[in-house]
Amino acid sequence: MNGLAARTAAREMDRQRRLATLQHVLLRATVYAGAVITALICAAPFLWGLVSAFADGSSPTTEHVRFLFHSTPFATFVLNTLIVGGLVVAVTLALALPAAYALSRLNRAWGTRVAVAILIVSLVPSPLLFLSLSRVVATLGMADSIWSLVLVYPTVTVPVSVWLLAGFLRAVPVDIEEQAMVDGHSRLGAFVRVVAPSILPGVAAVVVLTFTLAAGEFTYALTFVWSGARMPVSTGLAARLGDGDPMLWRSVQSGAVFVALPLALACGLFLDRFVAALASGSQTD
Amino acid sequence: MPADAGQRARFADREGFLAWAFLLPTIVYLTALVLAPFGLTVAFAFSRSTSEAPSYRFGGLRAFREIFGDHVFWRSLLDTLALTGVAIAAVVILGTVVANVLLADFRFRRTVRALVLLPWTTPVALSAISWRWLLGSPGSPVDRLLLHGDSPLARTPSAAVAVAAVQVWRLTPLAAVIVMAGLTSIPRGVWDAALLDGAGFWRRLLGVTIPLTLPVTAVAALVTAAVTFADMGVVRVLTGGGPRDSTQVLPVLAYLRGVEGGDIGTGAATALFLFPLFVAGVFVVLRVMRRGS
Repeated sequence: MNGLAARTAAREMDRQRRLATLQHVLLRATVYAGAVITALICAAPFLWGLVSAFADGSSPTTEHVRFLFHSTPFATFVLNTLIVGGLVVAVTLALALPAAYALSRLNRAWGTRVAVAILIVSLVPSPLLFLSLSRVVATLGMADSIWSLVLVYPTVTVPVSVWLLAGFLRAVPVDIEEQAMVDGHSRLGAFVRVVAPSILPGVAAVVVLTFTLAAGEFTYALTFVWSGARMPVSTGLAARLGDGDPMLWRSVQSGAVFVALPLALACGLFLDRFVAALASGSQTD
Repeated sequence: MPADAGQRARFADREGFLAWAFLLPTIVYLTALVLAPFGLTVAFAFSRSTSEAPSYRFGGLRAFREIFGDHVFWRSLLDTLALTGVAIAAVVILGTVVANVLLADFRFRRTVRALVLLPWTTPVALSAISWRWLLGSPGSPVDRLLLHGDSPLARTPSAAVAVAAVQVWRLTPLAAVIVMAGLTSIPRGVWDAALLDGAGFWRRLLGVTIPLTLPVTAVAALVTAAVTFADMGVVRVLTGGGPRDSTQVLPVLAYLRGVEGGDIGTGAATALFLFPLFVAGVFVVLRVMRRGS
């Protein structure tokens, strides 16, 4: 009797264990299927772009890529984007770092209101601004030059950067900064020696995000810069497709992939940081 | 003691000064290049200014009379609203799914994460070019699926579906990152408590996950809306507004009228119809902030 009960119990446990294993396997399979399907959908147009750029029928070819670099201004477009992106990153950090420090550390009664105002500014859609800004750009003598983009892009990148940097700064304990000041450093000295090093990874994340936003902007680039060799890559490649030559299309596909991959890889490195910054922002405000 | 108090007072004074000095450049910059140009756009909407004669000439309601009589304007207004609505719904749902996938633990996680970011980090015009090639080129997988029929971008309902799909594809990763932040900020204890209480999957979803991630989901919806209704790249590159203006949207129309057509007044008046959408966005921001604090 006792033996039978024990055997039944053992069988029941065995069944439960098998059920749990099955559940586990199913769950893992779902996760993997979800990951593969998501990745495929996200990469689909670029995968086809790669296939059609490097395969001619069934034989591999580098002809389209050589055409891209030798017979189109692709390299010039990329250089323009690098210059604009680099300068926009510099301007953005110069404006956003002090602003973020003021909002997160120097507690003022009006701090939250300024922070919300900056957030609202970031929501103003660019179509409401591009006609007026093109007059501003023309008046300043920057029409049809990449300087117009260096001037205007920080309107897009500064508000986002202020918010992210303020989040990173709030995560640094005030104590270590005060300790540095007690030790004889000025507020600026404490910032440079203690605070800045600890938010350096956050600053790197903001640099990557700012560059990505600057490289991807379309409306202002389309409106302000119209001469072929002065365009950034975001408008330049599309502008070259007017005649619909399939040869050019294949080359342009490879160009799109060359731009897309480094940006996605760089942003992928900082994904956890963006998530952490957003999470801390949603908790403290 | 007095020395200490004096130092503290001086320090506080300096903080007030520092706060202003640190914020002023940003405030001046954003006022000059966002607020002032916005005012100028409103002024242009009531003008007869053109690109040949860009100096300001008051034109009353001329521009509005012109766009109200233009059926493409009404079409674009409807398309912009419909596109934004569809994008919000689809992006929030798919973004939540993708967020859960990205938070799960599996091999090749880094590769998958980088691939999933592709749609959002790639310049919009470049991904629109790639989609146009995938959807419209002879011999592409889509072309073979359709047995070499007309490109879906050249026919009426499918062109609009393609524009919406590319917009959703592009913004889902961004929404996923925002929702991930919301999911990771739910304290572990809340989950454990719900489990201990014997709450099942649906009960935990409806009672814990959704209420706690609601603010962050609202932010994801807001960002999706703000990017979608302001975007020019997808429509301009993918369909050019066609076939027969059936996928035209307000930003592209404002560009066609104001820059290519040279009529700054009409272009500005067209763009101004995005303003109510912006105000709705600000309203949501203020609601979410108030709830959070």
